Amino acid sequence: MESPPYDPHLSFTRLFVTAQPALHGFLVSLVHDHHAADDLLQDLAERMWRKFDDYDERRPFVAWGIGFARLLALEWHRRQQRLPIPLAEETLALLADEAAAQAIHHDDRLAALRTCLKHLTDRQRAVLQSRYQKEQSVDAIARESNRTQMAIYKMLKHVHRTLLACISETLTRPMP
Amino acid sequence: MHFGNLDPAHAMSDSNSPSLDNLALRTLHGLADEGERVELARLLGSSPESRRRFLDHAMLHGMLAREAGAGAFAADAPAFFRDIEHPPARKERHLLGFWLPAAAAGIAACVVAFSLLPTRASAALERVIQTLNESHDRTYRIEVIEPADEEMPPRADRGRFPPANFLDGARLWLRGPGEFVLSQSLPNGQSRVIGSDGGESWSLRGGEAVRVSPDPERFGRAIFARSSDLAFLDLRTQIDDLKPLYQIEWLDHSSRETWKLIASRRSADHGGPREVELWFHPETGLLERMILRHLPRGNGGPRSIAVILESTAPLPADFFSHGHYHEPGRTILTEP
Repeated sequence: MESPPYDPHLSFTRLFVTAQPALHGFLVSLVHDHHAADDLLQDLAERMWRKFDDYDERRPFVAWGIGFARLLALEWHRRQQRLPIPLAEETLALLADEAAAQAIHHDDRLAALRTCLKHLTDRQRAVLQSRYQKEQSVDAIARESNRTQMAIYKMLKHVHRTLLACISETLTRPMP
Repeated sequence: MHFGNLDPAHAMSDSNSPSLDNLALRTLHGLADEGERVELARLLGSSPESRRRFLDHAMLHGMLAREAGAGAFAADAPAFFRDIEHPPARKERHLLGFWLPAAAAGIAACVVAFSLLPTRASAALERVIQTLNESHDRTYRIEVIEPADEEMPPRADRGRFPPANFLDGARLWLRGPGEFVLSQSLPNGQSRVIGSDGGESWSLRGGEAVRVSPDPERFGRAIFARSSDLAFLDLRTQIDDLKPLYQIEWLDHSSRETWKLIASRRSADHGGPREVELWFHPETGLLERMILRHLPRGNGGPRSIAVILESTAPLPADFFSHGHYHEPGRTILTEP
């Protein structure tokens, strides 16, 4: 039976969809805003598709994409009048090196996060829902729940630290 | 705590750098002041451990945002995780069916108005709500009445063409709950179309790949409210949340052609437009014009817009699916 003809669109889409979470994570790490990362991800897909003929399939697709993503993030920083964090370019480059190393483990972390999310309390889940799903500001959550901004921030901080500890433990736990 | 390093020997305790944790989290949650951001930049330049710890927080922040978009914190979160672990053969649309599109944002303001009117008027407005919920095709044109403040530059973090900045002349098509299409012309000559068929949302710009998300409000979210202080997400279930926010008064109900209401935000502590004007047909309840004044500045878009009914002509059956807007071979990038 003959194999189906090679379809570069299909091939690229499959690779990109699989790599997308890791590339998004890399971009968020450098631009510190997931909406900005969403926009850059679209530009990234466009650039990678244009260069897809040059892609060597023996190389991990994520690693190939990170080269483009790094450049996009650097360009984004140069365009900003006011950065969320006023990083020097050399610090940004160091951060990008570290983020690239972490991106390789992104899928493991995501799987660990999903396990850890199951252990959250209803209250913790509710504050994450307000912050990340409804995209409410900390101020707005505080107003809605009749709490102070500091109280909501502390809840979020506690959830972050709980999740980081759980992910770390999950990833370092010996395989059964 | 650095979870990128799989070697337990490299795991750190949080308590080693509470200051960095605070600075990172306050920055990621938009709470840090200028001094804190400068201090964070200094720390990130000073040690690899600071950078790794910051990246742990930043990557978790990004993953939580994406997981939230996929439904991880929804009411039926256990089903979300079950589906990940044991994917159904075909994704059930009704799991996400309670989310309605953000792009129908202004219409939500009508619901605020309807629920606060005196009995006689509220009866008329109930008719309008009913009309809104019926599955009829409507075409609206958006006009910017008052542009963004000059001293407020467009938000650079929203990409080259932030959706909220190109609403003048845009067209909005609505059908049933959750179904919308918004078409915008961009300065580079391209058009951008954002839409949802009620089950999934999608976005395409010019000849680029189509982006599709299982979150029905994923792409409309950028239009109206990043922080949904006035929640534009679900017209039916969020009415009670919106009721206390607006004072509703008649503007004009002497005409046989058009009745007008004005809804004024009760408190500046709440988000959303300061004033919403609604024009509708008294008998059919058809919304003919909606004017949103003093929209929140933080979103980067115009201060005031009008959404004007152009047509009620039927649209093609597949009008709210992305396939209607591109050739069959176009690359489609589906978000997980």
